[in-house]
Amino acid sequence: MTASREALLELQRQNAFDPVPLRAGLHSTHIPFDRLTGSTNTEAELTRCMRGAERVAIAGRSGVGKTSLIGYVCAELADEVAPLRVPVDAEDDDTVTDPAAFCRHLIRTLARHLADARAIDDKTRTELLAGTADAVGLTKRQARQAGLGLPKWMLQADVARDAETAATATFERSAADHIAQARDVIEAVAAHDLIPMIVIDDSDAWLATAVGDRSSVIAPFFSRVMRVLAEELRAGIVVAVHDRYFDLPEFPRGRGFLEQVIHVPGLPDVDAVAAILAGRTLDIVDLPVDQIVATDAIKALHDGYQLVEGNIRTMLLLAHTALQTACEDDAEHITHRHVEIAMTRFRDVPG
Amino acid sequence: MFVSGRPLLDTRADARLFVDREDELAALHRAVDAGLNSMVLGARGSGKTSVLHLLAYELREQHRNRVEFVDAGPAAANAAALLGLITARLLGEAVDLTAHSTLTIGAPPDVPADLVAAVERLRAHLPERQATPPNVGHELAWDPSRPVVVLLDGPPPEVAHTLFGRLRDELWRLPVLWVVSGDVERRADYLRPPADAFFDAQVSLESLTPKAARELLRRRLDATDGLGAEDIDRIVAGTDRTPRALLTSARRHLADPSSSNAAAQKRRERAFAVLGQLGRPATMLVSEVQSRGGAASASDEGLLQSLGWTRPRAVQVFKELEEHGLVVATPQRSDGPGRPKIVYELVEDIL
Repeated sequence: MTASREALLELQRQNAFDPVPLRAGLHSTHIPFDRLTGSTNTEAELTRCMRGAERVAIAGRSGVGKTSLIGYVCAELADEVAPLRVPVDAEDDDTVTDPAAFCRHLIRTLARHLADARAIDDKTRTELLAGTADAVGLTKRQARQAGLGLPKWMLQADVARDAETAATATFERSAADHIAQARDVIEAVAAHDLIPMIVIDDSDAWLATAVGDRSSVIAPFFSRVMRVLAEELRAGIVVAVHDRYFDLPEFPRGRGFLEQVIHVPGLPDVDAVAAILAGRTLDIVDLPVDQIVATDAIKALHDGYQLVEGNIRTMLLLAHTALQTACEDDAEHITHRHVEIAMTRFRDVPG
Repeated sequence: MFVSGRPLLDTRADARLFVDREDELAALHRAVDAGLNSMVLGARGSGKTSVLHLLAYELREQHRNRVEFVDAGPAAANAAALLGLITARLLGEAVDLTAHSTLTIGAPPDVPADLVAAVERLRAHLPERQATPPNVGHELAWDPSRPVVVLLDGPPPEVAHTLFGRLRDELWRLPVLWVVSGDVERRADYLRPPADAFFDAQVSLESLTPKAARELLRRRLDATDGLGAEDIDRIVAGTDRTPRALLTSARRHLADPSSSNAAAQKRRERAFAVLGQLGRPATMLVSEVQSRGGAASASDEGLLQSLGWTRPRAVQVFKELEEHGLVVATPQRSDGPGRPKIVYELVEDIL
C-alpha cells in the first residue's frame, strides 16, 4: 500500500509538519528524546527535577525542542505539577531585571490565564480535561479562547479559584508586597497537593542579534530575579537558556541559582527524523511514515537537519514545504526531489 | 523572608494558616444554618476580614449555600453605591466601580425610594439567578432552595445603618442571609434601632489567647524565618495580641538587624564557614567589599590598593566567591567603549 494523493492533501490540510504549531499542541506531537537516544538524560531527568521542585535550566540552541520538551513533561505530570508559564521575551527590561516587577508580571499573567479558564463553559472544560478537545480548523486565537493550552490545574475549579483569589487580592501594593503576593499564589496552588512550577520557556532569546541586543538583561535576570524566586517562592523553576549563554560574560558562571542544567540532545540518526515525522502523521493518516515520505527523502531531511545545526524547527519547515510541493505536484508521497526543492526555497529566503 | 500582615483569604492554603476563633466560627455557622443574620464586631486588626474569609471558604466547601464575599471598602461611598455593588454581584452582572467613585460619604442623604427600588429589583431577579447554579467558571454549585450568604466586610456604620436599619424590612424579604463585620468601637452606630433587630447573632472577636497568638506567629512565619521561641514570646508579650499587631511586630522584629533573627544568623554562619574554607584572600576581599557598602568591582582602584592586589588577582578571588554563592555578579555597561564592568555584590554581610 502506498500513500495516496488524498492522504497527502489531508496532511497538508491539517498542517502535519507545521514547525510552529499551537503551544497547546506542541507536546502532543513531541517524541521523547530519551526514546530517540535510548537514554534517560532528558525527559526522565526533567521529570525527576520537576517532582523535586528543583530549579532547572533547559539548554539548547533555537529550534532544538526546548519548549516542546518542557510542554511534554508538564503534560505528562499534569496531575502532580502545576505549571505557571511566565512569558518574558516581549516584556520590558524592568520586568525581567527587577524581582518585584517580575513577581507582579507573574501574578498578572496568572490572573489573566485564570480569568480565561473561568470563562470556559462546562462542556468544553470536560472535553479539555478528558483530552478530547480538538484544535483542528481553529485559528490560534480561537484555540486560545477555547482554552487549549491552559494547563490542567487551571481547569480544576477548586485550585483555580484559590489561585485566582490570591492573584487578585488587592491589599498588596509595595514592591515587597508583590513578592509576598506571588508567594501567596504559589502557596494557594501548593495547598492542593500540586507542585507549583514556574515555566519560563522563552528566555533563550535575549541574545545580541541583528534585530537588537537584550543581553544586558541576562545577568540581572539569572542572578537578582532568580535569587529572589529561589529564596522567596516555594516553587520549582524551569527556564530555557540558549547554548550560547554559557559563553557570555553576562551569564552567571557556575549555575547561579539553578540546581540543574539539562542539555537537549541532538537527533542521533535518520531513524530519529523518521520517528519525529511519524509522530506528526500517525494521528492523521494511518500509514507507516516511509509510505508518506520516501526513505531517501527522509535521509535528505536528516541531511538538512545537520545542515541547519540540529534545528528541528527548520527541519520541520523543510518537511512542511516539501509536503506542499508534493501536493502541488499531485504526487502520492513526498520524494527526495520535493525535499530538494524545499531546501532551495529555504536557501532563497533572505536571512 | 518578608512577612505579610494581610488578612487571610478564602483559600485552602490560608485556611491552614488560620488560628483559633473556633467558638466564633461555630456561632456563625449555627446562625447560617438557622437562617439568622449575624454581625461580627472586633477592633481594628482583630481579624474580622480573615474570619469572614474562612467562613466563606468553609461554607463553599459544604456546597450548600451560595456564598458571596463583598468587600465594602472600595464601593461603600454610600448606601446606593454599596447596594449597587451587592446587587451586581448577586445577579452576576458586571460591576463598574468607577461609577461610584465620585460619591462620598458626605453626599446628600440617600433617597430611600431609589434604594427601595433597588432592593425590589433584587427581589424580582434573584430567585431566577438562584435557580440556575452556574455551570461555568470556578463557582461551585449550590442548593437553589437555600438562601445566598452575603459576607459583607467592613461597611461604614452610616451606610450599614441605612441598609440594615432603614431598609431592614425590605432586606428581610430577600432570600439572603447576611454576615456583616464592623469596628467594635462603632457598635452602637451599627446596632442603632431598628438595625439591632436585624442581626440575630452577634459575635465579638477578642484578643487572641497567648497560646493562640504564639501559634499564629508560628504558622504565618515560615519555618526558615527562624524566629526562636524567645522572640515569639517577646512579640506576644509586647502587643495586644490582635493578629495584625502580632504580625506588624514580627515584621519589625525580622527587619531589625540587631534582633536575634535566627535565620539571618544561620545564613551568616554558613557563609562564614564557607569563607573559612576559602582561605585568607577571600576573607580579606569580603571584609574590604563590606567596608565599601557591600559592592565593588575588580577594577576599583581603591580596593586594589587597599589589598595590594592586581586586577586579575581580584577577579580570580571574586570568581571564587561567586562560585560559592557569596557574591552576585552584575555587569554594568558604561556609555564608553569596552566590556561591561562587573560589579560584585555581597549576598550577606558575613563578617
